[in-house]
Order: sequence, then structure tokens, then C-alpha cells
Amino acid sequence: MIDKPTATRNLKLALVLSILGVLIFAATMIVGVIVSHG
Amino acid sequence: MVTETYPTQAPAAPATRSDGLWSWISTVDHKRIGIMYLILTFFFFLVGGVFALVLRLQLSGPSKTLVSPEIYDQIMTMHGTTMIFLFVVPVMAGFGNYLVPLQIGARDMAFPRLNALSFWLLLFGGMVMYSSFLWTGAADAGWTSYPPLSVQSPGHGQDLWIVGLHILGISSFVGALNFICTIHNMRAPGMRMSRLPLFTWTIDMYAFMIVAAGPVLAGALTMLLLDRNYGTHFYNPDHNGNVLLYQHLFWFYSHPVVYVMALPGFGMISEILPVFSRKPLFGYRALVYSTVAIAFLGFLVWGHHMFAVGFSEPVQIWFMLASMSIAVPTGVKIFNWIGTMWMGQLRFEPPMLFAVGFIGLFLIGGLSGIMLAIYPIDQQVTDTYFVVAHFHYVLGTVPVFAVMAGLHYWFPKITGKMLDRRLALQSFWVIFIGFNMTFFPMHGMGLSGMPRRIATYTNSSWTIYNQIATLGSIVLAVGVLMVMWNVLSSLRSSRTAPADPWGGYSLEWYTSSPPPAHNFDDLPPIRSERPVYDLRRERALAREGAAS
Repeated sequence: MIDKPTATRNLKLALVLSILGVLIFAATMIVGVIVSHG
Repeated sequence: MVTETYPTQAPAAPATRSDGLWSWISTVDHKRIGIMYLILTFFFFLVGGVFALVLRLQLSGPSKTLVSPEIYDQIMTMHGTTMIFLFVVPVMAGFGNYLVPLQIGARDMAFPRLNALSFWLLLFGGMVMYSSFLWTGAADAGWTSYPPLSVQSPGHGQDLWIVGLHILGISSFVGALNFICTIHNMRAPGMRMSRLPLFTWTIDMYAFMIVAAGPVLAGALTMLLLDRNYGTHFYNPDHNGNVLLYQHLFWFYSHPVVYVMALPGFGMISEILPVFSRKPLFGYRALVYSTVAIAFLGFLVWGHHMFAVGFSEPVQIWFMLASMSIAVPTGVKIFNWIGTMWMGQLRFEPPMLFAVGFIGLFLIGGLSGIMLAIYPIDQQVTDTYFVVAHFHYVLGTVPVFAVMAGLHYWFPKITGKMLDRRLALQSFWVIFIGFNMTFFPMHGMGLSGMPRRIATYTNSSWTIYNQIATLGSIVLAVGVLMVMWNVLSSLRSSRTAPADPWGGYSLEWYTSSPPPAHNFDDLPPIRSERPVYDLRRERALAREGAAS
């Protein structure tokens, strides 16, 4: 079993990285829209 | 074989651990998931290899008709896709899954269930892609799938390719999150980042690159799917779209992926060379910094894949110089590897042979890479077999030499059995000869003008190159089958592996072979990136002290 502080750190880091991934995906789509419709 | 013993010699399979099929399907143990990754990815490697043999046989002479041009395009597309997305990238996740928790002294990955999800998504993504062969035919626009070809490709093979890649992307993204959390939050006391084994360092960079680059490919593929099926025109210039947008996005992802594939291979080499040179790694910090530098620079050079599209002069010069700059940290690595071997007590066991073979052949690919980074040269040989030769010497050497080095090195740890040494040495030489016979003539093909991705040709001056390459591909296939036979027969052999057969340096060699479910009973003091080496040295000094 992982201790609670480590589990919390893991969840926070995973959340930050997931948000980063979503933002990069969204930015890519926005670039696509701007380039093709701008 | 070294037979040093350490306190942790726990039984390989505790009584509570089931070995039934369901226990494997439902497992969340990082070692079992790692093994399943390795089995699945090596299966994909064999499938991709069969595709390659079909391509080589088709090109063994002018005007061959073994397969139709349509089938050739599908096999060529699925060969590249299989080797990159279903073998080289995920095989590193397989080794990473098995080794990272062991190397950092952890019990398991940070998110064991997510880890299992990553594996099953890999299987599902591969099945979705291959299912296209059963329907209207597989994708046929090349592994790069540039529009307009990929937008106009008939049937649903291209759609299944896109959906399959999305699934694989989620698999590798989730796996990358897990690696980063594990490496940054789950290290044993004393295992600072500055003491991480090189393989774990490279898996950390592998994971960060996937997190940063993967969503860009996901965006590019989403737009491609929308253009194909939902009437959008992201890539259609007739409707204000931009056909080059896909190439920019694709290579912004795919050039870093070159290093996603190569860096863990570098990590394997950095683990193996010092052990078989009987010396500490030369320049640990330089190797870490060069790993980080390569990962960073990898995001700045995507345009060198697009020199033929007609960038302005300053843009061409930027991408040329940025691409050439990667030779600096790569050169640092090769310098440090040679420095590690220099004056060492070299033991040419199979892992060492594959590692040294990797350095020599990767250097050839690196040198042709510098040539291709010079845009006037690239414009002369773009889309010829010279490029195919280059990327097989770079990316082909990673699976065929670095991964094989890793397989021969860690096989005793993973299975508790030793490979047949004689057969392993023989298979190295067969693979080495076959690899060079297959790919070296492709430089000549390219320089004499043979385009890549053609299903047949009539120019008889290319025939001799193609005949040598085809013969070489058969030799290479025999070599790979020899390795596979060695693996399968050794599993049933009586050659039991001790905990530390090679005299290893990192923590995985401190536990039994194979390790128990909980990995370690205890850990040695961790004062450097080579705690087991330090422990052995302390013992040797203590023995000397007692003797005197």
C-alpha cells in the first residue's frame, strides 16, 4: 500500500500532466481552425 | 557468470500468487504487465517483420508481381505503423514497466490499475488497426499518412488506422503519466534524481516527451478523421485549408518520437556497457544532461522532414542548424560510452556484443542524419531509399540491437533462466550481417535515384542493390528467429539464473531472479547510481581488510 501523502502527490502530479495534455490537444485544434479558417 | 549473493533472496513465487490465466489477465503487478507488454510487442515485431519480408521479396527484382501495388501500399503502411507504434515505442514501456520500480527500489508503479489499462489499450489499438485487413483493406497512405492521399484513401482502412492510433495514443499517454509519477514520487530513501540509473532517466524523458508531443498527434489525427468523414476542410486547400498543416503537426510529434524510441535504447546501452567493462559509467552527469538536451532539442527540429516543401531560406537554415546541434549531445553519449569501455576489463557476453554493435551502427545512422540535415543534400535525396537507409540505421538499430541487448541482459532477471550463450553469440553475428546486408545497400539505391514507397521498378541498375537487401532481410529474419528460439527453449531449460548473474550495478540485481511479488525484502544503502556495485566493493574491501 502507498502511504497517503505519496498517493496525494501522485494524484496531483497526474492531474497536472493530464490538464497539460488536454491544453496541448486543444491548442492544436485551435491552430487547425485558425490556419484553415483564418 | 557472477554468483554474488545478497540478503534479499526471497522465493520467486510466493504460495499466495496464482499462475493461472485469469491471474495474468487481471494482474496489476508491474512485472507481469511488463512481461505481457514484452510478449505482445515482440509478437507485433514478428508481424512487422513478415510485412517487411513481403516488401523485400516484391522488390528483389524488376517488375515483380508477388503482390499488387494496392496490397503493397497497405503492407508498407502497416509495416511502418507496426514497427513504430506497436513495437518500438511500447516495447520500451514493457522494459520500463518491469525495470523502473525495481531500479528505484519501489514496490510497484504509482497507479497499478492504470498500468494494466495501458497494456490492454495497446492490445485493443493493435486489433482495431489490424481488423482493417478483414474489412475493406488496411490504410495505404504510408505510416506518415499525409493528406491529400490519406483524406482520399478509399474504404475505412484509413479510419481504423486513425482510431487505432488514438487508442494507442491514450495507452502511451496514460503509461507516461504513470512513469512520471512513479519516478518522481516513489523512489526509495536515498535514491535522489541525481542517483537514478540511466535507463530510468531515459524512461522519464520518454514519458515527458509523450505527454508533450502525443496530444499534438491526437489533434492532427482528429482533424484528419473530421476531413475524411464529417465534411471539414482542415487540410483541403480548395476550401481554404492547408495541406502542410498536417505535416507540421505530424512531425512536431514524430520527430520527438524518434527520441522516445531512441533514448530508452541509449539508457539500456548505458546500463550494459559499465557492467561488462567492469568499470563505473564514465561521465554519469554528462549522460544525464545529454539525455535531457536531446529530449529538448527534439522539439525544435521537425522541419528537417519537410525541406522539400519550400521553406524560406532562413527557416531552412534554422532547421538545418537545430538538427545538426543534436549531434552534440549524441556525440557526448558516444564519447562517454567509449570512455566507459576504455581500459575496462571487457567481457564480450551477448548483451555487450549487441550493445557495441548498436553503437557502431547507430553512428552510421547518425552520420547520414547529419548529411540529411544539410538541406541542399536533403533536397537531392528526399523520398529516396537513402532516407530509408538512414532511418533504419537509426531506428532499426534500436529494436534490433539495443532492445536485443536489453533482452539478453535482463532475461535472467525476468525469467530466472539463463539464455543459451553459444546460440546468443551466433544469433548476434547472423543479425549483424543480415542487418548490414539489408540496409547498407539502400544508401546506394537512394543515391542512384530509387524512390521509396514504390511497389516495383524497371531500372535494372537498382537490381543488384535490391537483391543484396532482400537476401540480407532473410538472413536478418533467421537471426531474429534464432533469438526467439533461444528465448523459448531457455524457458524450459535447467539453466537457472542467480540473482545477479552479470555482476550488475543497479537495484534490480539485488533481488532474486525473478523477483518476488513485493520486489525487495530490504534495500542496500543507496549512495550513488550504482548501489549494488557499491555494496560489492564494500564487501571486497572488507574481505581484503580481514585478510590483511
